[in-house]
Amino acid sequence: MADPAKRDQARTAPSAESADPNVDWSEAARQPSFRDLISAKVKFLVPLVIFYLVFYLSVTVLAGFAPSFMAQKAVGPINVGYLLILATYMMAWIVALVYIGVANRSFDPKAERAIEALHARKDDA
Amino acid sequence: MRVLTIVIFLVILGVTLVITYWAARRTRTTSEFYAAGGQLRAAENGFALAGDWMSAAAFLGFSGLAALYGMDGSLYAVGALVAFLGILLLIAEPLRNTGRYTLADVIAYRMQKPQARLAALIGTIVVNIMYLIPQMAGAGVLAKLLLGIPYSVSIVFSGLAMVVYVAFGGMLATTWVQIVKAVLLLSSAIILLVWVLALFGFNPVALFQGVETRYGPEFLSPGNYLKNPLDQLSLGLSFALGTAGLPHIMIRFYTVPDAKTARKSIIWLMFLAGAFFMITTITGLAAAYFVGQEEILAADPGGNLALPLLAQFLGGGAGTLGGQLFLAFVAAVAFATILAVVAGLTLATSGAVAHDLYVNVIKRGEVEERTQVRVARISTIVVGVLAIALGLLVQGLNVAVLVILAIAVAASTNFPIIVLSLFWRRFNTSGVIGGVTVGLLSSVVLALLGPGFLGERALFSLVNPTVLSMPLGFAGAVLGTFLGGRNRENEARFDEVAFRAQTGAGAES
Repeated sequence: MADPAKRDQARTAPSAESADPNVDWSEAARQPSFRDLISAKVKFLVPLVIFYLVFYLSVTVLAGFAPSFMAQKAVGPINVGYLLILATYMMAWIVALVYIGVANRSFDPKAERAIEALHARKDDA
Repeated sequence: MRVLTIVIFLVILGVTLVITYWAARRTRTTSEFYAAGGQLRAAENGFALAGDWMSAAAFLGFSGLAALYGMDGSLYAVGALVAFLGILLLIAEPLRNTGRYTLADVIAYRMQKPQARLAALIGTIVVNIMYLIPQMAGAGVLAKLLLGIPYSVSIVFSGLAMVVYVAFGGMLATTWVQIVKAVLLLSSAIILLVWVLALFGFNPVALFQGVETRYGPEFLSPGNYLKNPLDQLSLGLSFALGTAGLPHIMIRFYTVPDAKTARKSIIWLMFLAGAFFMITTITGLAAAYFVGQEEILAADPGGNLALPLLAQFLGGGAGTLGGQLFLAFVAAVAFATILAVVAGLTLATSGAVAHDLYVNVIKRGEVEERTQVRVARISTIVVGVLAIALGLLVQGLNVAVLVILAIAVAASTNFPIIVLSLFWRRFNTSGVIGGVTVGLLSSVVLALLGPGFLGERALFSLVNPTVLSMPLGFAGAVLGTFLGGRNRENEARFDEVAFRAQTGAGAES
């Protein structure tokens, strides 16, 4: 549990009413540090999302439309279907860990730079 | 047996009431009530998320499905893990960065229009109520089957308990009740797993061999549960994407200080709940092998008692002390599970009523802090009374199908408007209204016409309509957006939303 002193600080998450009129967000969204973050995210996340969706949905499609393939014996009494389900568990865990690694190493520093650039712009104005 | 279960359950109940008392003294502001002050650690939120996601439908249902239908049950269970990949990769962090207490916050933050919030909160309330009814009914059925307590008594009791947790302890109490329950659930699953594996010389292949010898290879093939091949894909889609539209899960991301912690808490969830879902395949097959499908079906046609019966068998069988002790423990954990999940659902629903509807739509945000908390507590009581009334009304009906409907509605109604709010520049208020209207109508109507409700007389052949209703929900949102016309101000606002959502600017604690 977080210590009570910290708990008392009101969190400063934006509310629907707190649009900051002093910042030109269109300009902020155009600054290179932010574009850099977005392109890194798109390049990494789009293929990863396609990969996990195609992987998992293929297993469900095979179960629906190729039941005899899924029922083929692979390891003793265990058939292809159960092995694919096991592989889906592994896939989900590996994708999650890979994402965490990339987010910590690449996205977080890039997001910090974008916020710094935003503050620098504010101070100039 | 009854006395033993009741004693174990009372101990668990006592612990949760102590938690509620402790949490109530720390719950004064709206942020504390809805989001535990946003100060939970990743592990705390991860265990609580796992508690939310390992509902009775998972604990009892997945094992039952694996015991009665073989592979379809295991496919169902793995879907519940894959569900969190989309949330991890695309939704949780932007949600944490742009919302405060409810799912509708994210949409309202983007659109700045009460109409958008109103449309979004309707999706939240419908999904929560549909999810709540089968949980309440589950508590009633379980109490009757295992303890002989009348259905109505346990419904009223569950409703009272959840109102006490939420009205007094808010999100902090709900979270710690979930944590306690997650630990109990995981421990009992691990004990059962190790016990089962020990009987097979720690060789899972031997378990499969035994099951195959007893029931034949068809039992281990797909298609025993979902007869329509498209239903497999539809279920997969609704899990993979619909989970991001379940408000009681998504509001958990507001309880942590930043996006990084939200991310870490999902990793906790994915390993805790994922391992648990994997275990349900083993315990389900073991129940089929040791207890037998006939006896499981005789105890409950839905297979929901497969796991308690397996526990009884492992403890020494019916009538023995060990068997009674095991059965009592698993039954008590199942009750605790239901109470914890209904508490989470109640909190999410009263947030939509108090924060979205009363404070922001009706009063346009002009409500004092103290009043907001009071309104939240009153709406908790209202939601509790409603849940009790609905639970009593559905007695005797098969409501398990409502879980499928809830997640289909979440995938078709809430998911499209969240994704489009976060990622589509032109999306606007009429798009939100179009998405909610079309997504809600198509998923509910198609499900009502399907075999889940009409059985043999179904006019639509899928139990889970997501494969059709989710694209329709997206189409409604896009159509609404174009009909609403372009709005420069709204599109410029997307830059702010995107910047804040992706960087966390302005959401630092």
